[in-house]
Amino acid sequence: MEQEAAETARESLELVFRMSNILDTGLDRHTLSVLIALCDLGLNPEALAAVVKELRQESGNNHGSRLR
Amino acid sequence: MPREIITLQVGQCGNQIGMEFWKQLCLEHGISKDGILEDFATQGGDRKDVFFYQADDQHYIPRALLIDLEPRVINGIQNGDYRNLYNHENIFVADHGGGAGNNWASGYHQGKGVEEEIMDMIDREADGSDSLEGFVLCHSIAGGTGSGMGSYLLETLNDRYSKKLVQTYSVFPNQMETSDVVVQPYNSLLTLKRLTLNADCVVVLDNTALTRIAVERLHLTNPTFAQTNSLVSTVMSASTTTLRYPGYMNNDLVGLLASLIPTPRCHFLMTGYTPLTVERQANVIRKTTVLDVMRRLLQPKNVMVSSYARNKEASQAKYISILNIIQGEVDPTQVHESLQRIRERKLVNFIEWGPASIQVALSKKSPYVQTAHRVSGLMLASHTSIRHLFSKCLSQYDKLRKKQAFLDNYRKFPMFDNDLSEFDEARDIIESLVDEYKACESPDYIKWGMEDPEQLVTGEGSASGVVDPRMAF
Amino acid sequence: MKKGEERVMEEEDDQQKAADLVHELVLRLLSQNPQTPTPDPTSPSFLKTLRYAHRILRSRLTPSVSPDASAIAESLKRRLATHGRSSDALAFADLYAKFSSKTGPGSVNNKWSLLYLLRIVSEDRQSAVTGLDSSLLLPNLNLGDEPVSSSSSSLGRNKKSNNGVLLVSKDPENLRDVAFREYASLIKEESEVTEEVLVRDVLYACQGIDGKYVKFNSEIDGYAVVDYVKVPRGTRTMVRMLSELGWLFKKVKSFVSESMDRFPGEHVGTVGQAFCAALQDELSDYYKLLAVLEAQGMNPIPLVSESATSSCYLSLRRLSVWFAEPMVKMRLMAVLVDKCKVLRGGAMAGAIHLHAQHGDPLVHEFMMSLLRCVCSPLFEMVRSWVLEGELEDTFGEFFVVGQPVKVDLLWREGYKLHHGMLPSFISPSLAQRILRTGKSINFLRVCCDDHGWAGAASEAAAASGTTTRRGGLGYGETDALEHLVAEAAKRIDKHLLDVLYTRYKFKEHCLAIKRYLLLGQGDFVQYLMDIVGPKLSEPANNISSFELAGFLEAAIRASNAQYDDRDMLDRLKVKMMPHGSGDRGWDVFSLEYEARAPLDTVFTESVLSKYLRVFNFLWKLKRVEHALIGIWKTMKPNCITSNSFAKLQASVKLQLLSALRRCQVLWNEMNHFVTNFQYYIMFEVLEVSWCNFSKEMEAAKDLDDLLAAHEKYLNFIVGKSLLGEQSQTIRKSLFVLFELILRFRSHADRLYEGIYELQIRTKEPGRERNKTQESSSWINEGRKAITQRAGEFLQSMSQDMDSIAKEYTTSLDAFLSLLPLQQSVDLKFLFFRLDFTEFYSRLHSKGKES
Repeated sequence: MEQEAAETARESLELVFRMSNILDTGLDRHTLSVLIALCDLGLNPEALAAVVKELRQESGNNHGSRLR
Repeated sequence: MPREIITLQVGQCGNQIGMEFWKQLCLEHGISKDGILEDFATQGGDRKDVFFYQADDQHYIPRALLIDLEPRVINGIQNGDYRNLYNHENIFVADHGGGAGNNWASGYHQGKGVEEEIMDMIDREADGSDSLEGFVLCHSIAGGTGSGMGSYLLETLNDRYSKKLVQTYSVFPNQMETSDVVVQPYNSLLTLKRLTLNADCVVVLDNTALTRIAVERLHLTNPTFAQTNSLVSTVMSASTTTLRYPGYMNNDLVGLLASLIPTPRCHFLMTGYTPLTVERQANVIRKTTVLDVMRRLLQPKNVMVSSYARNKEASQAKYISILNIIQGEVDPTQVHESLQRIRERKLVNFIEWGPASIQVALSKKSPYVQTAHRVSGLMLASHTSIRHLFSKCLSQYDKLRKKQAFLDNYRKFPMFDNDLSEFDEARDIIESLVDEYKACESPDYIKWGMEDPEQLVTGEGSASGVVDPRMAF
Repeated sequence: MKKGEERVMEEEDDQQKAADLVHELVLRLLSQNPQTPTPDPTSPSFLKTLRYAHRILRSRLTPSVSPDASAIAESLKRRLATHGRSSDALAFADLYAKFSSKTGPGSVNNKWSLLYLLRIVSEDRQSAVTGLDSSLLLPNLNLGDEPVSSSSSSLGRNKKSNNGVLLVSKDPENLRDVAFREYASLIKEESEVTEEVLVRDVLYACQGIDGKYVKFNSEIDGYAVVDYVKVPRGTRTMVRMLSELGWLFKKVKSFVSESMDRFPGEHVGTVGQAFCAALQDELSDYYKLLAVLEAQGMNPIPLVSESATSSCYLSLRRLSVWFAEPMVKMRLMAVLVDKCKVLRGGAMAGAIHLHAQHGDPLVHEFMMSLLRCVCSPLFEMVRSWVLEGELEDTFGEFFVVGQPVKVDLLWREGYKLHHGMLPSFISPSLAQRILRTGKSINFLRVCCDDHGWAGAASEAAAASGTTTRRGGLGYGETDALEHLVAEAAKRIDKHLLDVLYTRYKFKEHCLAIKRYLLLGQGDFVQYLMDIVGPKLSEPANNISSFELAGFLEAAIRASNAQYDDRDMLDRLKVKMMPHGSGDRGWDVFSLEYEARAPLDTVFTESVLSKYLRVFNFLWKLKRVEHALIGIWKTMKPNCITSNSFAKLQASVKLQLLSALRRCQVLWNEMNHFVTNFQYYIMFEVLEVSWCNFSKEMEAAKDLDDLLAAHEKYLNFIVGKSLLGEQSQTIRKSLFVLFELILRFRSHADRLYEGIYELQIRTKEPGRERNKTQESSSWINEGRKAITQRAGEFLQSMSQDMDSIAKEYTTSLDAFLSLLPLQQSVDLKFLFFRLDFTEFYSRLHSKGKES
């Protein structure tokens, strides 16, 4: 059961990662897994997105070229 | 108070051309045959009272005296269409009605006989004027009455009205045809003396030229007197337009004549008129420009005095003065242009001893007379070539005088009963006149006559009878 | 995520878990930053960032869209497709299908939430890539180190107790509660100034009212969140931005109320009132908007839309959207208010018009409607001016101003353009036409006593399609205005000219002036010269103008002038110019033509004085001509018969002949000069100018044209008659010639008098017609004595004549040499006439040769 659940989780993460890539979110697997957990905890995805954006912007402000 | 002009028409010819003149004036001023102002003639901007006086509001009467020693012509007038036009008190016909027999001396003598009567008429007429400017005499110089009696009247007017102008319209006989008046050269010479001494201005109407114009220009094979007279009346009326239609300049006779006659002795004027038409041609209105008119007026064929000058002499001939009176719708700006063209083309030869120019007067045309031309022009000019006309008269006189022909007719009268010195004196005067015209052709006119006192005007008898060989024809 | 099922059971646990996850997320996100590859979880900057993340998460508790995963997936797919990435779209759809089929343990529970998250992140990146700076839409939450006023102080205040946060990672079990409490208090404090409150305050501020936290700060001249309230700097800025509207509003409002207070006052005027009214209208729309917004802000209204279920308060960001349009307008109004503060009337309309040319359709439309209001009083003035000639301009706002003047000056000076009041949308030429049209009406009414213009005006109104009633015209209808003005001008001006031509006989008066003042009526002039001439030779003091008036009347009666219109003759008056003691009548006599209204507008005093000068000149010329004619009369052909001098000695006769010839030749030269000068005056000056004037008179469309034409006509005459300023030298030279001619006349008179005397004494006796008495006296006196006396007399006369001739030649030469030098006037026509036969050119070249 545990094993199966872990497998499902791994597959799911893989699917999410691939979708994320298509959508060009720039999020890695690890970050995605944290975000999935937070979403599952019921946090507002809008707020989460804002955090991603704001914190990335921090780095982006310094290195705009990386984003472009 | 206009500058009135009294017209004296003397003799057959004088009355005939006078009658034509009045006809023309009546037409132009809208005055009927009876002297009544026509209804339409209310606003012409014209001045009728120079030549007419008003008997009442509507009635105009010519300031004219009709004088003759025989009744034929005047009777004709008195029975004609215009019989009511004239003041009958102004008509004088000799009681005997026998005329002057084409004898100057007779006319002159009879003139003296009726001087009182005629001068009364003249005085009365003059009294009726506010500011009489002068007299116009219409006559012929060849016959008896117009020449002889006319001469007497000229002397009398000169004496009695010395301040007034005396202008004549003098008809010179046709030299081309043999005249029925054999003593014509005598009459002409004697009259010419008076025209020279006692007139201020003589408009020469040369029947030779008038006939030529009638034949050549109007294409009449045998022009009648009536037809040549209508030419005369055209000239007469045209030459008085500036007096009758007042404008900026040339409003009175003296102003008109002064500039034309800078040398008092040379006061014989030639006339030219264009375009000439007879009535039946007057159906097409032709376009004529000022330049056309002014150019044509300088052409000898339109001039109403015959030129007897030879080629060499003709090229020496000079204008002393020219006045063109142009009637009709004229653009004043064209005048200058026309003058320029005429100068460029050297169409006119003026005296060299003083400045001169073509004077141009623009005048209204009568609104009541339809003419075939938009613009018409009259030239009044003093030209030295007129001396050849006088020379011709002299030579004809000399021929006759040499033969001592017909002198008896003259000796019958007091002026000639002692001697014929009157003829000689007249001849001298005409000759000096010819000389002065000739002198005007030279740039040294100013000095003319100063070098040799013997050649002076009228000399002291020694010069009489001497004819410059160059003058002889 | 392994503890997914436990979430429901242990709330406390979840909180901790979430905090840990957030910590991990922040670490993760920061570590992506190459500048801080390995962020120190204990560093203050990391903590700050963490706190920031928490705050963001706390601020949005509920998402704003409905939790429908497949809908979001579908929209993502469509978006990919529309961006031309159809294969990606298919791949995405495939992945999503697999993803959504994963259920049960280990799968993602909140699939919707995750997808939504992905979408936002994706979109954010997209917009970042396409260059849109999304930070503008969010409050600027700067995390930099620089101390920022309120937020830093609030941060500093909490520093001491912030230890807990630092300990979170070390001792999560113990200190988590402390930290949470910290946060809770922070939230509590901040939530005292919730966005809701700020929104309300901003709405207050936008009505120019101080709110609880947002108040007017005179230091910064604007509304701002009060200092003691702790709000994020971004929010503060946003409030500041939003409440700019309030600042603008206050400005506009105070302008309106100030203007209204001052009414009725000259400072505002009708245009100002219209402007205020338009602003007021705009403000009431604005009030309505604010009321709606306030209602929305006070009562949270759940959105009805199916796709957005969340009940959402009016946020500052939303407000900024709402405010976008009013802001633009209000800003514009504030600018206009600024611009118009000191302006009135046409100037104000013009200033506003300058802002109308705007690319933004919103602004453009707004400006148009504003201008329509503002310009309507102005256009009404134009309408009543061009159609009624009324200046309904109590407050001096119109670009046409009137001033009380004498009737004859009404046209030239009665009305003027006030350029300051001319709005730029009315071209100067149109303004001129407007000015003239109304002026024409007033001219007709006042000067011409005319009522027919009203018909012309209503025709014009009918033709232009604008009714004569008020409010027929508005801004933006410049074409219609121009049309109306054109129609009105055309008709009124035509009517005016008709009245002048027909009723007031303008052309006839011009002709009368030409006839009398310019001496065109020759017979009249001549007669006048005849009768006043002798009188004018007397000293000016001896002459009564009454007597001269009598002469004038006599000259009229004697000439064709008598047939002239009595009205015109009555205007002809004798004028005695001011004279000194030495003056003769000739120097002071003049004619004048009385101009009456309305023609005194054309024939003004200065115009009449020009005519006077021309008259004096022409009169002088006539006098000289008259003198020459007088000489001619004395020397006329039948006066002196040379026969009379037959008995004179040859030498005396020669002298006599020489004197006469000299006199005649000199007379001819002088007469040539005067006559040709007269011809020049007649043809080249008077007639030519009259021809041109007649043509221009016919072509004239309005009184100004006519005035200009007349002016040109008169100036042409003045210039060509050598009366211009620049012709002084040549004029003097001409007058010298005139003087010489007059002197010549008296000499010639003396000469001829002498000759007459001689003539009488030497008259040859013998002919019965001649008076014998004279000759006997001649005999008595003795021939010798006479000859001697005659010789002496003629000698002295010749000398005098010589000297005059010499002087004349010199003076004429001087005059002729000046002719080609005249630059202001073309006198070649005159020279051409004088030198027609090239007499003078030849003389000149001859003189040069010798």
